[in-house]
Amino acid sequence: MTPIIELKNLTYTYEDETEPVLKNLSLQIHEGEFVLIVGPSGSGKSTICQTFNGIIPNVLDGEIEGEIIVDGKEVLNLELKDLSTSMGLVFQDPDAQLCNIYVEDEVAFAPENLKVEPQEIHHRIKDALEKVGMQGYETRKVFELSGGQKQKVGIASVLSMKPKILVLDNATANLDPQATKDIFDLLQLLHKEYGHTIIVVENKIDDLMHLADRVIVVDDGQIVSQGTPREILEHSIDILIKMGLWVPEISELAVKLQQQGFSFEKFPITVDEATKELQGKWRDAFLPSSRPFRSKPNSDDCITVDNLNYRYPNGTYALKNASFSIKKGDFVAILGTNGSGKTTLVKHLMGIIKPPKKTIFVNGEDIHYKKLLDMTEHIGYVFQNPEHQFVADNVFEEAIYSLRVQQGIGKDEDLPQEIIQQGIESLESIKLLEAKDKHPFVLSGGEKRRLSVIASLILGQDIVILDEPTTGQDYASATKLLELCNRLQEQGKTVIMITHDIRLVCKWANTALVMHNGEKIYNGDIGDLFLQEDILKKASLIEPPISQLAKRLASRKLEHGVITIDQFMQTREGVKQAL
Amino acid sequence: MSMAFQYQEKKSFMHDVDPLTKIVWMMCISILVFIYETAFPQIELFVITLMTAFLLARLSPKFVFRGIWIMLLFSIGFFILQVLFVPGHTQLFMVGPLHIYKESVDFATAITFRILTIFTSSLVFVATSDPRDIVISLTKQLKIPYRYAYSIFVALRFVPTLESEARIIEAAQTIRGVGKQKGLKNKAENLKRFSLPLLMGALRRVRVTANTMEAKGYGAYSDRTYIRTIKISKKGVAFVLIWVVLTVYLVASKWM
Repeated sequence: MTPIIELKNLTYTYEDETEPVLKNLSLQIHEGEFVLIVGPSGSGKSTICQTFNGIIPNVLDGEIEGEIIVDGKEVLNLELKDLSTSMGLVFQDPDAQLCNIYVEDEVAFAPENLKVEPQEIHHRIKDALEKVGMQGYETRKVFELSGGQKQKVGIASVLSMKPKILVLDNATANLDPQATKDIFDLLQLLHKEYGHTIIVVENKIDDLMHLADRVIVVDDGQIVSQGTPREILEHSIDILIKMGLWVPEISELAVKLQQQGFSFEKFPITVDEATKELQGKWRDAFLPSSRPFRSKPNSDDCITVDNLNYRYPNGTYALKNASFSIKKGDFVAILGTNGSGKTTLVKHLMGIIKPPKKTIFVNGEDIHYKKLLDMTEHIGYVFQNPEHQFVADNVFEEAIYSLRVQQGIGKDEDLPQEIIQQGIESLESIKLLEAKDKHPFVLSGGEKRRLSVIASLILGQDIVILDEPTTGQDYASATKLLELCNRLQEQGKTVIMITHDIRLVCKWANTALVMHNGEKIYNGDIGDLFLQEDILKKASLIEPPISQLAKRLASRKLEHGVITIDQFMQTREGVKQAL
Repeated sequence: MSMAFQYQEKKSFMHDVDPLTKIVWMMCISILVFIYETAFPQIELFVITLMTAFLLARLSPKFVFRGIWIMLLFSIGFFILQVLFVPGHTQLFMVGPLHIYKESVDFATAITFRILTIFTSSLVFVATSDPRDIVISLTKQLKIPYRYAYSIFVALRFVPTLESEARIIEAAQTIRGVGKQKGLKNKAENLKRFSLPLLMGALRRVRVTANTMEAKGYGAYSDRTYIRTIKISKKGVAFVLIWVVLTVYLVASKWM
């Protein structure tokens, strides 16, 4: 069978760069296959996708050698228009790839360009929107939709070209876990029911890996490993972890168990498989007597919120009767779907949106009376996109900028020794001292993020708020950020973080605050959250695989949540000791 | 500004008129305002255009005012200057040492209303024409290549995204302490601080946008099909025909 996509000894160098991003890479993908491409950031996985449809080298210049054959066509000798019917490409940022105002026009855009008859286009719109589950949205405006809905429109807008191949390049990075899962379910449907060839580049693969027929691991412009998901996870999981990639939690656990002498009939990659393997073999030992107590019971409240309401200009409630308190020195994760009011809530805590009188108290003070600039003495606030917060021309100045402002030292005036010392120390703590003369914008994504954290906290504030700081990052760089937060917590600071990365939260946070439709529906221990099925369901939280597994293996109701691999392993230790 | 000069989704007589016909109407108005140099016909034309905005386009007075207020300020200033410096011979009255002539007041009024009329008629055009219809009119009727016509439309699509991003950057930088330092030099510095992230974000987005549009066959052929069709309203054509006849008659009677 001839492959639908074939790359032969492909080498590609971006314009203005010396090092090739793809190095003598060969690859075959067959019709009807579901292929997952993984690799660290900068490994060339997105570049591979862009070679398929001729964006490289037609739109992006550069030097290319080798052969690209897609659907029997030589890509390098063709124009883009000849390829668009073979391939549909969906990118990460939904706002950038939808260029029309109305949903209907967006889906019609490609066939209109390809001069399809209007009658036929109307059929295709209906068809494509039905496939992605967005029928009835034809006349809605694109920018009023949620992120997940936008991506579904993005998929529909390429389906309307009737492509054989669908390529998703990090398309779920900006979505919440439920929306991500919806997109994955949709991919499975398109693959199984409609026979599309599907190629996905993705960072978080817990819910996706098992859907793929083949996984391709890319590093430094080359394919380092490929095989079925099970083969890759069973034999190459070390490579993936070393590259700093997210690997399915279940398989990570399986490897740990193997190291302890446990053997599997079939190496598990899903919760179902792990349950089957462990059932019976795993003694009913889920009664951890000395569970590490994560919340700090006896400290004072540092933030109190009392009956906070907020309405959008159009009248809908963004926050409804929110009341809760946050303890000093806690690590609080704020969870909930996009649009549940998380960001609106923390904006109130900081005073970016001014709260009404007597609703929010920070360290005992009503912040209604405080100016935004004065709030920065108490709270460091890290925005979603670190670039938005950058104000200086080099990394060092960026780190100490707030000190300059606080002490009224002008741009060209010399800094006192203690400020220089403080800047050096804080840059050292995130291993960025060597980059101190670089422009903040040229740092890597993870470095930018960590720089923005220390720069926001240089005044020594004892509370830090982070708004989705790990979005779109690989495991290694997300972990580094969480370790930084952990150090801050150890220094006695209170950490408040909005995030969708449940696995990170389970590993590092003490308490969880769950938002749903503007209401606080949970505030308490993070482990016990996952024992409350009604709340998980209501807030569309995706339970970590470990927790699901622990519940299924337990013969009776768990007293406390088991949410990390370490905790799971401890239950086994418990058995050993009892024997 | 951007919010004021924008398409208003509504039903009205002017909304039903297709963009090209409305362009002809705008041209009639523009020709007429340029053939008169006295106040009275100019005021007349302005009132007619304003009434078209209120009654035929069903725009609210508030919306119209928000759309033209900058022009209004500008033309008041312009009016005062004209009154003071355009020479005349029939003196009306004195303001301190300044002579105010009848001719200069007349001329200044005419010029001022001329500006306002042109501005109001463009406002009616923009507020009552769906951008999608404008694109189709430009490409199908005026034969402008769609690559150009469409790019304006795509730019419009990104205005809300840019606006919201600008608000976030402003808050993010205030928290860092930007704006606390005074002085012109710091102000200039702050402008740079503000525009850099906005520009970087926009550039990155534009690249992705260009890639996706290209991948969706944009510009693959010199023309394309449209699922939208423009309805030519008979009443609209009749309305504009009256304007054309009127304009031709008035222009002819002025010079013959």
